[in-house]
Amino acid sequence: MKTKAVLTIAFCWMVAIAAAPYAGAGAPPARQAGSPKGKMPGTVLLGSLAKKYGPVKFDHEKHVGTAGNCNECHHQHGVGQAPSCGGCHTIDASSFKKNVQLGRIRPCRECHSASYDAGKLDRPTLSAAYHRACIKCHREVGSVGTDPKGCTEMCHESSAQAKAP
Amino acid sequence: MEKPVKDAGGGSERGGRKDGKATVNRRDFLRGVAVAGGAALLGTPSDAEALHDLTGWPNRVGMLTDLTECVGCRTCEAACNAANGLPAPEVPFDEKSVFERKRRPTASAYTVVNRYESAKGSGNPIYRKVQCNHCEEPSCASACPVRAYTKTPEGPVLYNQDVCFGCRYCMVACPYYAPAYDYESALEPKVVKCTMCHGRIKAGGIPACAGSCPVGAITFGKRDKLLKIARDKIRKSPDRYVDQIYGEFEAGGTSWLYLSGVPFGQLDFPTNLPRKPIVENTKGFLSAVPLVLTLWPALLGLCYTANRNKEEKG
Repeated sequence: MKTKAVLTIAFCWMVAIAAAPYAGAGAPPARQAGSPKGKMPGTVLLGSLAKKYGPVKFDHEKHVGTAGNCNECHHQHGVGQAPSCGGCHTIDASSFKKNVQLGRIRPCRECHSASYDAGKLDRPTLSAAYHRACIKCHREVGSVGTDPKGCTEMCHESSAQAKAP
Repeated sequence: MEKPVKDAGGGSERGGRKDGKATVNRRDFLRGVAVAGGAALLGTPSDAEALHDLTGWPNRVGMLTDLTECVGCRTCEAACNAANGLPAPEVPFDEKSVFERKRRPTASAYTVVNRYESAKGSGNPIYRKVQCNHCEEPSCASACPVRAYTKTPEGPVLYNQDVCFGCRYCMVACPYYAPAYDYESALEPKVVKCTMCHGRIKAGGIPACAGSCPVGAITFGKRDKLLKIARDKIRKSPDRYVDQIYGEFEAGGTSWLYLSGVPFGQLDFPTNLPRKPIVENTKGFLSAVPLVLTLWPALLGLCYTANRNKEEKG
């Protein structure tokens, strides 16, 4: 009796373990595809260049609403000429991920090198590309105290400020 | 030792006189003088013309400032200050009140950024970075009586304090008002201007301002490449830029090139500069000076001697 019970429990365990990988297949995914916004990056920490200034806490989701078009920043199809992203890409969770994997949505640094490149003088460096992308709308950079705000108030505090309590 | 030399001199003089008597009469001599003088006068302009065809050092570098990109953050000023070990500014670099008046480079600031209101009254202000433009044929160098200026094969125009005696002709000669004078040191005259970070360039680096500009408004590279890039930009965005690369031809061309969205005159760029180098205006005259100073006394002296001999004879 005791042996039978132990065997049954052991069998159940084995079935459970074997079935575990398939368990999620039928069930709905943990995060709903729902709105495309929901599946895009939320807040991104842009810190690869952080040195004199700290990293930028970039609220991607917020900018999706305010920027007219993904192409305003993700310009690899050409600036200002491409139709809206939704025209070609179905922006749901899986296709968005696929696009990233296929390299259709590429990180800025892939084209814009962080350091000076004498062979690509016509291409802004990574820092310049980031700044231009933001400054296009946040033009009055450096006009500290007025609105739109200055460099440190708006985007990144300087390292000196960060160190000070 | 001295006597024979003197004798030899006298001998040759006499010999010359003899020769002169034998072969050169007054008319021939004067004709010779006229031909030599004409050649001296004619030779100079043709030399100047040949120099005018100079296309500059190959592979020389330059800078391209895109004024439509500049946002007036003054990071370039701060970087320049740090790279050249200049004294700390009176007002900090993130202070925007400096834009209330137009500034010029000074002994403690090799470059300054000035603000201009948009011509339409609305829209973003326009910022203009000012510094030495490193002319292809610098007028400061031609005006300098002691050769304190050098146009380097790399492109930058450099100043040498060791030979400068403080006449400040260079400041008058510069069409861009770039050289500044250090009035603090009365006994050691010192003109101060941008060096385009020549040392950094030689070491394989890039000028501090270009390296620090957060929006990439200043591009460092070979001047030929920069011109191509600038032309490309104008072609691709004709609405954004005026159809001119300032510095391509101005006063014979400069190493520093500019693109702008508004006519350059509105940003206080001198627009009355000739296409030919300013040096051209004085080159003919100045190159004749040594010739006149050396050749003419000799010729006139010969004339005088010949005449005196005749008079003595007569």
